[in-house]
Amino acid sequence: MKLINKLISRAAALVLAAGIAVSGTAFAADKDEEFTFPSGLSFNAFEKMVGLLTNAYGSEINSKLPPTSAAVFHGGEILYTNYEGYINMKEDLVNDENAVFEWGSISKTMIWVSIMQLWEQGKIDLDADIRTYLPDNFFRNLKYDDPITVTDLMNHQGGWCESTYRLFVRDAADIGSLEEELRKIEPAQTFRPGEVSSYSNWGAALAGFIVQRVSGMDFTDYVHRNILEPLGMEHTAVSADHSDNMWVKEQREKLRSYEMPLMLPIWEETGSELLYCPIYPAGSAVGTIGDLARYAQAFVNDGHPLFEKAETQEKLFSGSSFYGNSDIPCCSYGFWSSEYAVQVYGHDGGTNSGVANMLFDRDSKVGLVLLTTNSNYTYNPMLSLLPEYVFGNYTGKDLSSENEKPAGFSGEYVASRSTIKGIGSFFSFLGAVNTEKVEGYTDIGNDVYKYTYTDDYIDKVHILGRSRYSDGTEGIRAGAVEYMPVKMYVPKICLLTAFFLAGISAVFVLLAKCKLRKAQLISRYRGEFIITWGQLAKAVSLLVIAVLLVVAMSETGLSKTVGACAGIIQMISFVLCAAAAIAGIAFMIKRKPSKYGKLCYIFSIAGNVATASAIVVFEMYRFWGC
Amino acid sequence: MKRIIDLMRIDLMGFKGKKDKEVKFVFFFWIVFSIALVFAGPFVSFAVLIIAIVMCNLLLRNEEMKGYRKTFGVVPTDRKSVVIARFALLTLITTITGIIAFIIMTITNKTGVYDTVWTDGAYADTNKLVNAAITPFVDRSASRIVFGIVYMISLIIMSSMLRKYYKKGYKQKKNAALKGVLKLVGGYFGFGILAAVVVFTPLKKIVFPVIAMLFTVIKSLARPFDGMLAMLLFIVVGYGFVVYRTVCAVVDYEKREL
Repeated sequence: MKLINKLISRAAALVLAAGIAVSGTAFAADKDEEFTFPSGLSFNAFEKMVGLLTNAYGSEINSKLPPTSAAVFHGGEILYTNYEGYINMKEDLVNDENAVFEWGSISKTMIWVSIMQLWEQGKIDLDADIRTYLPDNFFRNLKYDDPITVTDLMNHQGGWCESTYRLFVRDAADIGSLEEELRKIEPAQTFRPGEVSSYSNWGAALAGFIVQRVSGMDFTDYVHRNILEPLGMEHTAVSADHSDNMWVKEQREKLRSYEMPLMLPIWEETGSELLYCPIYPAGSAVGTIGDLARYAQAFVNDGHPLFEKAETQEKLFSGSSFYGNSDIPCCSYGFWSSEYAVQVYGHDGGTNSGVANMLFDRDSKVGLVLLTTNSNYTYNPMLSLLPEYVFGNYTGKDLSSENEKPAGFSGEYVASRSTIKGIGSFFSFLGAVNTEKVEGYTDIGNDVYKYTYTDDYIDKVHILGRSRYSDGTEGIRAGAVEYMPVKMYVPKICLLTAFFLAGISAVFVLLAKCKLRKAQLISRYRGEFIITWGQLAKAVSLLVIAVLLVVAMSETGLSKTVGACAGIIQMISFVLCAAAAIAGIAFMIKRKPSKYGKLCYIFSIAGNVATASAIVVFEMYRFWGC
Repeated sequence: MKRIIDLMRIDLMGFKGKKDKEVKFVFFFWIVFSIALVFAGPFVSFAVLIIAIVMCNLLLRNEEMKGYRKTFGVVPTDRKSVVIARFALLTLITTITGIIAFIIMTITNKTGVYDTVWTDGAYADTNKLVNAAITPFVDRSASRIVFGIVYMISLIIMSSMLRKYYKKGYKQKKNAALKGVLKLVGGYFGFGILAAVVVFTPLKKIVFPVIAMLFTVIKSLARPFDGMLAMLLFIVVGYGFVVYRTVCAVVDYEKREL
């Protein structure tokens, strides 16, 4: 089935390629009669291709589908809508214009719009230090004294790494005020403000809190009064528990999510997947596709319905962060630039329930919004192909230059958007990327890289930038995230391996000791007590790390309580390992054991030292401020 | 220590029995595998598995059927030494086989013999399916991980067989081959049922993150030094099992009435 899907996608992609290729001829013939998308496709061709894609996909899978809603607009006119699948297969609830979906991080764009509105009113200075707008001593984990500007927040350059702790909770009753929730999970500041792009939900929610402080209104009320009401968005909720719009709340509760276990062609219901975001400005919005389209249409509307002055809207899309030293925008005051045949801005979103996308071309005034609970790109080709049908594929021809040379990356890199500090720092270390084997990257000058690859027989291009840091190192910027070189990668990975080996060996030694003790075949020796505790500590330390990884990979993420327990256990493990190592050295010197005994002592000491060192180096004990 | 070495020598002498076709089989098997190496180097790791199983069986059959148990009636020893000597000998044989296999694998990796045969040669163009199947083995990291896993399994099986012998003795069962096949088939379907239970029940919410965690760790350790660290991890697990099974076998054999 996967193969058939792939073939359908490829066939559609080939048609798209052909469509683009002939757009200047065949499609141009009836240009006056029908609308032509920025991709070069005529409306009829677009409709046929989407139809081919959805019909073939639907009949091939031969079952009900999870819901996908999409709308394409041109200025104030909705050109195309598609409501596919069921919001609840068991109860035969068909997806329609009343279905609501989670918008995920598209919610953040409401923060950025609010900031620009307040800037327009002269209430916020985009270049001012955000501490001006926050309560005294708000931050507890700042590493740098440098000011963090409002623009830094909008560019995700406040310097915060990803929070170790979960962003969503199951019970809405657990949610406190925005200020309390922000204080609860303040991540560590690991980068100098303004220097590294590191997509931060916390930083965005903090900007929402600034809106609240400056406007004197609750963020939910502010958004309702200044964004939803002016645009007539009556089917959208933005508060953490969606209680600001009871119709939306009820509709959301009807929505069910589905998954394909092990890619078998059966959709299995996973429930409502309803989780709540305590730092809600960052990702709590829920609404219909119609409302999302209405919201996106505002950004291509020359009447600038969200702002008093046209200049404010122009500034919002004038670019605030660029790739390398070029004028190619990466981010424009919180809106991301995407590579298509035309300059497209927007934002996407993802939650436990599904994914969302909002893209628009301000020149042609064409836009696309898409909401779905089927986030599987293999089984929902709409996700990747629909934007290409509308905006066209980016070929990167404008970037070609004579001075192009291979990018020449080397070494291991870690994503800036990862848990770089604290108890989860080894997660990010395990996710380090080796750049030596990557292919298709060329340096085109001005600190800009071009990544060329072929997908479904079409050559595609992505833009990346070179980032230069104050410590003299260089990173690779890929949209909202930068890849930064890992210092001392080889010694660290060796230490981590030694930690794993020590833990595994300790388990076997403890099992053997238990067996011998039960059979009364083991004689006591000096230092046995502390050495056995050291072995237990090594095994427990490894177990804690394994549990942390499993919990972090589960749907709700790591809670503060689990983190604190893990940190305390690691502290105790460190003390026991250090004590066992010292005792081992002392007994080895004093007792002058046999060759075999000496070997056992050496292994024990090495294991204890490796475990204690790994706990310190990877901050496995640090459950606070991360 | 000397006693253990002496016991190991006696067992080695047992392997040299003129009528033992198994030893000849082992050497023949090695030659076949060495030829097979030209086509797929990492498959040599399966030779370690076969050697470990065959040698273990050979040793136990020698003891039970060819009177080698009587030898221990005249050589002054104790049960503990007998068990340790057997485990040490078979671990040594498996280790030596493993080292040789690893060296051969490294040489073929370096020379790229099977790279040429499978990915660059004309054969690769005419049989893309086989090429796709073989690609993970051509990759050095993947081949070392395969080696590490097979080596670990070899040590686990070998030590489990020995432990079972010292706990329950060697029993020549009727229709042993048929029972073995039935066990395999049962295991296959049992695994299928277990997998289905995991996939279609809420159990997957625990099992899948655990699998993802293991995959993440192995993938991370596989990256540096072309998979050496991940391979080392598997090998240590294998030797950990050997140590634990040895202790268990000593305890069980001491308790057992002969």
